[in-house]
Amino acid sequence: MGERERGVGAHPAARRGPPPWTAMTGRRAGALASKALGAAGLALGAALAVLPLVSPSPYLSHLFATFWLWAAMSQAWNLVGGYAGQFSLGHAAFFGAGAYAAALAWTNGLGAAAGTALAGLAGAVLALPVGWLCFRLRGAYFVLSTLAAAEVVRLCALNLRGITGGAVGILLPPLSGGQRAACALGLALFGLATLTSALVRGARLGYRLRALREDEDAAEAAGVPALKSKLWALSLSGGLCGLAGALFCAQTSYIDPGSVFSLADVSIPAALGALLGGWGALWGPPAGAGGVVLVAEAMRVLLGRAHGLAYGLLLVLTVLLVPQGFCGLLAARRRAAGGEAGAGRP
Amino acid sequence: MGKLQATLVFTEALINGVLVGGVYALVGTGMALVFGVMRFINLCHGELVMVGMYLGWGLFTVAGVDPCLSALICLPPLFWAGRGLYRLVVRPLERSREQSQVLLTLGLGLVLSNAALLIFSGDYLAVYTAYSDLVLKAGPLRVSVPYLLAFALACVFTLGVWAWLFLTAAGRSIRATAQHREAALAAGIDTGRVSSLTFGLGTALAGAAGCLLLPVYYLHPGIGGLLTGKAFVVVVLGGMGSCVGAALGGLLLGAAESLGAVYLSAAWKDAIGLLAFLLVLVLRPSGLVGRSRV
Repeated sequence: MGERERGVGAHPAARRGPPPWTAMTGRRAGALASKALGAAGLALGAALAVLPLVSPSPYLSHLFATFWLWAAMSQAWNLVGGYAGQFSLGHAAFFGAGAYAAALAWTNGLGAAAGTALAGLAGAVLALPVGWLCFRLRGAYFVLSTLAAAEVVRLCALNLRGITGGAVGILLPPLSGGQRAACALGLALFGLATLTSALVRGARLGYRLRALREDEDAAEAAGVPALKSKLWALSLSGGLCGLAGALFCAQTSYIDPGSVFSLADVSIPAALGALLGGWGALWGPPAGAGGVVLVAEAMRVLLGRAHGLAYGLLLVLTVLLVPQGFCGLLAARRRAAGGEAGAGRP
Repeated sequence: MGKLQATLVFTEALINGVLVGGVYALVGTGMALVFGVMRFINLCHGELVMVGMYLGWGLFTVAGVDPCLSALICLPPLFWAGRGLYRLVVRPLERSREQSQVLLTLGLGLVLSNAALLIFSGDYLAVYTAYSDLVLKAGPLRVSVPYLLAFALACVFTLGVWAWLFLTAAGRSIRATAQHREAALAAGIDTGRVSSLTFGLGTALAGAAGCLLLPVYYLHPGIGGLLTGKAFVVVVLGGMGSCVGAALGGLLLGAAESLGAVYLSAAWKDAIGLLAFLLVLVLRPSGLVGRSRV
């Protein structure tokens, strides 16, 4: 499809190893510094994770619940978009399917746990036909087909009024425990997403996905089952998005097709977090999601309702200025400086 | 009588579909031109159409200019705006991965539609001209005049672009670049300038299409995404990068939507185009008529 010679998803920074003249001392100092930085980051992260759980401010809890939700979504997107290099813009389909599955289960008297499980299942199962259709295409055509597939799912939710209630949406009783509970659940979801991402990264599936990203034809020739691996990744990703949809549904206690299947409000921020933070890296997506949530919130405060403007500007600037994301940028800079620790290790 | 009625309904739906399809074709031609020459996927094409619509609406409400005339007035400013946009954000990514182009233009589209939302709010706007409610009666058939006018002018614009591409030196260099970029460069064509011209032309066509859509469609900030979707379906139906294909694809999509709205359900109208898009991409990626250069 024409993009072969340009190399799909090749990490230009990853091809270069550390320069041979790197002095041992510099390397050790770099590793030590990065370890200290990592420890400081971990401590800061732990403090930030606990603070909104004990803080009396519902706004802070709401903000953090939103952050954990999008960090988890970006982490889920990264399984397919980062590791396998398949830039999906259809993740709203899985998010919305999860939200609707949970809402319908809860309004029909199923328990909280059963509804949540159904939401995850809905996302994971929906990913199979979507992936089966879209993974036949590569590059931009894959991106566009996922966009179209999510739109088809949205139109189904809008028009199957007997099941979904159509454009009216579904109203739910508010979450007991309020925003603080949503924040705790969000943290748990983010933990699950990060654990999945870390496990996939080290497992055979992760290596297969990265091989497919670097050169799909070569990987297939070497015996990597392309469709099967990508479907596994998309299904895992879709399941996590389904759970995120359930959390969104519980947090806002109202859903309609326009909000949960939205390209601009769901698919784009999920992808944007990973792209901004560094797709393919483990800690890139949550870092990027933090930036996305903060900028969107700032825009909401300053301009009113135009957080879409923030997403648009961030997307344009990311693609133009930091196409590898901040983790990729850091890794490249560290390599250039002679260190060997690679946050953006592909 | 029942059979005659059914035939009438079918014919009217077909005619209306083809009339809307003419405007889809104009929207798609701009996108196909940009893709054919630059291999650049422009996902903010619909938002550029929206910019043209707001310009036309502004001209109409402030100075009372008829949208058909605004379509001509909009051409030069949007042509230069397109060239500026090319210089600023498109050129750095012209040779990069297709995914980046998709993300970039998607971001641009978000910026444009949200800027429109901030400036004009989300209200639905419309232009009421003297001929807005006119209906042409040909025997038992009834055809809406604004649709007919939009179709006729869309045809004029599309034919005008073709004439320009085939009869002028600049058009020849654009076609040469579309056929083989390196060979065109070797033959002394400034392909960078050709890209800039093409993007400007695509933007201007989008703006003109926006003005022509004004008497037919309600105008709101969300319309850009919808039109981008339509344009992309049209371009894919016609075979990526083929202008003739885009014109045929536009007519086909218009007819399919109109017939689908009558015989299936109006609510599923938009899904028809998307499903056709997915099926064509998966089953026949070269499009229904075009040759594949993808």
